[in-house]
Parts: sequence; C-alpha cells; structure tokens
Amino acid sequence: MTATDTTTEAALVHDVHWKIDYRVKLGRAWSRFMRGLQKQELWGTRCESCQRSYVPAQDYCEACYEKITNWVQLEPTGTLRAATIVYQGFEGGPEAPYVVGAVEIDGTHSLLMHFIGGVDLSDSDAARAVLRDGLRVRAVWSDERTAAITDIKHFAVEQA
Amino acid sequence: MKDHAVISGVGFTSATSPRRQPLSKDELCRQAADLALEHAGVKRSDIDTVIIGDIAGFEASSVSALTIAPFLGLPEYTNIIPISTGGTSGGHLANQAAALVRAGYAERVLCIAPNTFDGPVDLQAVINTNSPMIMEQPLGMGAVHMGAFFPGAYQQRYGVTDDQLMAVGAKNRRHADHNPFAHITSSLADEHAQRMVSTPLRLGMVCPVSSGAIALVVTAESLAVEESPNPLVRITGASSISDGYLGGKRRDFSKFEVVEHLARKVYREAGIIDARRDLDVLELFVPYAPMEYLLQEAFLICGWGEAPGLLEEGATSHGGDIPTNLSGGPLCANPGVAGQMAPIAHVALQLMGQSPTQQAEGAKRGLAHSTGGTFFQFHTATIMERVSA
Repeated sequence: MTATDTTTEAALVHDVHWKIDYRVKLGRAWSRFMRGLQKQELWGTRCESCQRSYVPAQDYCEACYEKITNWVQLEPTGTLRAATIVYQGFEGGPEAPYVVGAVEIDGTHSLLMHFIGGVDLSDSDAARAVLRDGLRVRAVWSDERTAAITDIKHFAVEQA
Repeated sequence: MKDHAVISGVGFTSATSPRRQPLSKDELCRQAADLALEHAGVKRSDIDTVIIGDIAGFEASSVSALTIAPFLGLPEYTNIIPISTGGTSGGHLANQAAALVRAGYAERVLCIAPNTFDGPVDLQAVINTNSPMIMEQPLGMGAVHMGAFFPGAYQQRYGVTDDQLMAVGAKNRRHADHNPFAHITSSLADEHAQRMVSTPLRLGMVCPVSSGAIALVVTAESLAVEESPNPLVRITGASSISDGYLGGKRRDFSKFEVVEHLARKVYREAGIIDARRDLDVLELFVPYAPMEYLLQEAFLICGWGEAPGLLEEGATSHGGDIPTNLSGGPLCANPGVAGQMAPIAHVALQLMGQSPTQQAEGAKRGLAHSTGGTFFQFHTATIMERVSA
C-alpha cells in the first residue's frame, strides 16, 4: 500500500451473527388443527352464519366476524390454484428445485399453501405445463409427524 | 382553516450495490437529509418533526429509526416518529407527514428513508423469517418466490407470454438509463436476464439489492408558499390497505384485489375520476416486473388483462400518455425503505418539472405506490398534484 491509499481505503465491514431461539404459541384453533395433522386428519372450520370455511382452521369468521365452533373433517384432496417452481432457493431453505403452491381444499373457500411433489422438474417448460390452475392434488403424509404443517410432506398430483 | 401538506424538498444519495457502499447508514441518511433540506430551502432548526422508516427484523439492529435520529443534527425538541410497516414503511413516511401537517400537529416534517438491505448476507433467507412463522415459514419461500405466484396465475388467466413479462423489465431498464440514481440499467446482459429464478420470474424481472438513502421535506402549504423555491406539490390523497396475513388469504393470484379498493379510496379523496386521463405519471413499486401489469389494472388505468397492450403501444414509456416508472422503479434500484419512498420522491420531482430522469412534460398529477409484507399484504398510495402555476 502506498501512502495515498489511506484516504481511499475500503470501508471496513464486520460480520455480525445472531443465533436466537424463540417460542411461539399457536393458540387453541391452530393447536387443534396441527394435532389433527399428526393423526393424518385434515380439519377445517365452517362459519354457521355465512357458511364460509377455513383451512387452516380458525375460530372466527373473517367475513362476518362471528365466532366459529363448527369443526369439519376434510378429505385431504384439492385443486391447485397457483404455483411456482423454485430454481433459486436460499440458505437454510429446501434444496432447489422444488415447487410451492396454493391448494383449494375440496369443500372450502380458502387456500392452503404447501409443497407440491411428484412432478418431474428436469424439464421446466413441461413441469410448468402440468402445474396449472385446476390440477388435482392429494396430501402425502410424512412418516414422522410432530403436529406441524410439515406433517403433510407435500401435495402430490392425483393419478387419474 | 386546515392546511394542506406539500412536498417541498427531495434528497437522493446515489444508489449502488451494498458491497460497493462505503458509507454507514447514519452517514447516508445525513447526506440525504442535507440534500432535502437544501432543496426545500429550510434550515435544520426549522424542522419540528422527523419520521424515520424501518423494516422490523431485517437488519442487525433494533428500531434503527431511534439510532439514526441523533445523527441528523435536529433541534432537541424535534418529535421523533419511527414507522415500521415492512415494505410499506417508505410509502407511509410521506403519508404520515401529510396527516400530521393537515392535523395541525406539525409544520415542517423531515422524512428519512434509510437503506435497509446493506446488512443481510442472504436477503431471501431473512425475508423467509418474516413469513407467517408456524403455517408458511417452513415452506421454502422468500419474497421472490411469493412474488412468482401472481404472474404465474396472471399468465394462465390472460394468455400472457414470458416475453411480455420480460418486456416490463426491459422498458424500465431503458428508463433507468436516464436516471442517475439507478443501480441497474439496460446494460444488464441478456444471458443473465434470462436465468430462471422461480417460475415464471427470470433474473431480468427481479429487483437488485441496492444501497442508498432518500429524504423528503413535507411542509404546511401556507408556509411553503412563502419560503419554497420550488413549485408546490400538494399531497391530495394518501391511504393504505392490508390483505390477510397468510398467503392463502389471496384468493385470486391473477390480481391485487385489495389494491382496487385502495385505488377507489384514494382517487375519491384526490378527486380523480378517470385514472388514465387524470394522472400524468405513475411510479409503482414493482420489485418483480409483471407486478406492473397487475398494479396498473388494480389502479384502474385499464381493464383486467389489458396492461400488456398498454406497454406494447408505448403508452407506459416516456412520451406515452401514462408513463410508468420513468425512474426504472425498484427493478433498477431497491435500497429497502429508500426504495419504497423513491416513487413519491420521483413523482414529486416530475410534478416540480425537475426530474433527474426523463421529464414527463407538463405533468400535473401523479400516483406513487409502495407494497410489502407476506405475499404483498400491505399497499400504500399517494396522489400528488402541482398546485403552482
């Protein structure tokens, strides 16, 4: 380094690393929903006042703001409404490529976000042509279940 | 009588990549504040309130608004207001300043929009932690992946091609060639632009991570009439809206449903009857190119599915009747909170006739928008109008 470099020296950068653990309470409705998944059961709630239904289950209606006590067990099948094939993920996330989609569970009005599995991603155009609005899917359960959203491994394309 | 609020000064620092940024956040914000105060023709001691934006959990700091304020050299009785609404913090800064001025609480407000993305090593990983923790955070999504759901559904509904999505990126980068504060321009190589990130989004449709700061001075119109060296730009409409928290609450990904409600609300406030006829310039927060189409439609510039046609006929480019993102928008510089306030700053300068980018000749009214949150949960809109002759 020459003496003149002191005025144009690169600014220093220090690495900062935080490792912090948290605990988050799920509340009554989501606890019951997750315990259902652990038993390979998909539960939603239906508003008795306006008949809107919710998956994941919630104990109030967003449309009419009535309390919901009506729980309904649902077939873990539905229709894909939107999806993306992730080719560039992020540190700590799943290994790309993988698919994430919004699934309308049969008989409900809301969308459940989840992984979509069982699609060959080696040809991106062919995979995009499959992963369209209207695709029928069914939940595949994880072998080890911990009362978490990942108790569903993914939704797989239903064979005709 | 209640006062109006006008934007009386704008200060931009240059934008670059976080890696090349030699200045700290405090240094950048101070530079932006100095430029805005000088532009407005007021002194630090004239400021009675400072509003500073933040994105909670994105940086290795907590309430950076409060740590930045002491560096600005403001009088000791200055009110300090932090705003932290994720991707809409920047849009809320000017909107809140206008609310405080109209309410008679403040007379001259300094809005500071800091750089927010200098710290994170992998920004998508940080954004993933912002995702609904229990239900959706484990599903492998950062902002770009959430942003990919909308254009995929839009393509399927209206038969829009990948090339039509990329055309927005190309247009905005051409605009950015004339913006000295842009970080990415049309020099982006096509081989990079075509790389698929998350279908249907390719790299050329995705914003960069930038560094830079922006400041505004918002003043009571009765004072600005006497002291401002610039044409007066009044904030005639300012509003915000929120969708549901979970991504699954977006029922139809082919449109931004809540933005249509926001548009009708803010147009009523500002007296906009026919958006395409009454507005002269738009700066929309478009971190993913196809969002420009969805936002133009939700802001009632054209019918559903018609926005690609507007671009093809040149209406949304410089010289067209509804030029959109003459700055290049976030696709050309996205320094976090500063990127969110940039649309307001650029529209204000257009209406003053002082744009550092290509000037929309004779522009009188403009719309600025910002958005953020999981699956674009939040949006803000700001309508500005030149009231000087």
